[in-house]
Amino acid sequence: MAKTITIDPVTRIEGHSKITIQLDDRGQVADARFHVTQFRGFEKITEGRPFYEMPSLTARICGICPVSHLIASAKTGDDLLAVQIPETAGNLRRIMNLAQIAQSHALSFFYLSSPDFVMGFDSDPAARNIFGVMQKYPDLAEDGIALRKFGQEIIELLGGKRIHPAWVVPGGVSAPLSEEHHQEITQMLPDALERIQRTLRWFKGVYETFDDETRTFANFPSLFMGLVDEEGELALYDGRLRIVDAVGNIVADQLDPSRYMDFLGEAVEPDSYLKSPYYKPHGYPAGIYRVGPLARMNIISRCGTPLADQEWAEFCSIHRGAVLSSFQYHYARLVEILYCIERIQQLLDTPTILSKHVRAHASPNRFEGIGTSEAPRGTLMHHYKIDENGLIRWVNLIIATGHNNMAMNQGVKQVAQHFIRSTNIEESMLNRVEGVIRCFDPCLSCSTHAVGQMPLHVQLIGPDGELLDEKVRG
Amino acid sequence: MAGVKIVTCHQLLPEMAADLNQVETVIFVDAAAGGAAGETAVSLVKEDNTELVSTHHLSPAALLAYTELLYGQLPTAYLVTVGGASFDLGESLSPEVAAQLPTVLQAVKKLLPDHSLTSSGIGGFA
Repeated sequence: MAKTITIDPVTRIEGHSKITIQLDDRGQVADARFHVTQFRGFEKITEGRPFYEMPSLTARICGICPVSHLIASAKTGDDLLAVQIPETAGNLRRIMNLAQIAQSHALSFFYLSSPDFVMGFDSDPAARNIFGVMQKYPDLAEDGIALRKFGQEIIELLGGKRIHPAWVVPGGVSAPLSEEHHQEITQMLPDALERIQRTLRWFKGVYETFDDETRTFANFPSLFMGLVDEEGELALYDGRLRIVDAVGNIVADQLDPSRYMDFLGEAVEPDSYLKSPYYKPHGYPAGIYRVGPLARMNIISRCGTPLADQEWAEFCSIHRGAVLSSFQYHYARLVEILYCIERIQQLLDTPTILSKHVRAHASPNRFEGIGTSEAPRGTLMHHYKIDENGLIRWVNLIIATGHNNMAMNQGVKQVAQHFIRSTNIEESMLNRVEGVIRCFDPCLSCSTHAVGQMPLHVQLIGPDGELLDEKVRG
Repeated sequence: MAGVKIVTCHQLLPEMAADLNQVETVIFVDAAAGGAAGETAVSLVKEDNTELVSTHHLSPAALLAYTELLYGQLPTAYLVTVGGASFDLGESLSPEVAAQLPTVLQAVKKLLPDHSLTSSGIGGFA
């Protein structure tokens, strides 16, 4: 008799979801699905609003990465104004984006995922949390707190507050960087650098002990996508899209993100509010691709900063061709934090960084605009159409977590096939199913533009639809 | 006001543990659901490390537990709550709650024996 397992809600991720696992007549996993069960619909809510409100409105999609939405939205506003923003404004936005990525990665790695690395996937769930990490490895936990604080403080120094700063606006930024704040940020960098290098050394010493997870956590061939600059270096604020295959070959390069509709399709599945983007030339579902830190490490020709380039070379050496295991998203996050710290220093050293000319002023000159940047979890796209009064008529948001939807589904199935050995939901299996999703650090509040927390609900269902077992957490 | 720092935030965050490590006393001020509108209550807060970990919610007790585990010391902590009248969308306090602000301010001042909190500080409280 075939059966189904449901995990609802999924814990230690951002948002609300459930997982169903279908068993066949022999009790083997036939299929598994990751359902996003929350919906808020910012694309509809914002219709009729003035376009210049969009950065502040869309930033409310998420409390973890509001800066990403601010930047993508402001870039869409730049496109509607048809202005070239001042160089200093672009560099200041870059610094804020780098700080945002560093603090978000720190939250994901230390706060959400490190309990699995420190305590083990099979450890007592009551102790497998950040409190357990603080007790066992207080230095590691303190590094996490400090790196998160580092990113948040830079955001606050630039934007006036840590969450939902309104400083990034269409045309540039609303205020220049002061000498005092420049000095404060500069003084923070050496400590942050030391902490991330220490964490990298620690993680490189332990990740090989998670061989089972590395082999089974969404470890399969797929495409990878992200932004690169003209030289193929890591580009987190702007650039053009590069797509690489599982062997590491460049499939497409220097694609104009504003023409995303030419090469990205969006499929809709009936059991999830999260759309399933795919690479059109390969069709659906063969056009499965991944975005985010792992994808970015796989697509680039180099990072572009000295220490991150050394770490990137070492990262690439763990697998011939592209690194396919999604477990290595965690490793990639640490390399990116290192890059962010180095890159902030480079940008602070640019001669014009204290310029007072940080905003271009104009009225709308186009009825349609598109803005793309790299968010912590991957490529983020905002696309607006406005009327002659500058009011929003149509919005499409393609969020990083959405790009990864097909890969997360396939990853859940792979983990379920490897770890489920009975019709009961065992704790170790539950944590690994959650663990594969945590690799992607999905933000479901972002991806469905929805509100809420993300507990876990897993159901195990037989071939005749009978509910065999069920676990709810969160 | 020398020696007093006001932090406005939409929720408590893990990295605030590093800030709590630097202070003698922390006073959390927040709206409370339930109870009479504007009703002010003051309580001592003790650390608690049993809370479910979430990035969308962190209680004062859990934040204190972070501080103790990471830095080995705790500030004296108080929670001042004010009963909310309405949690609908809006841009200002309801009249019932606004009328009680002097009482809230007085409650906070009593917890700061060495300082006087001026009315200009009220805007800093979330």
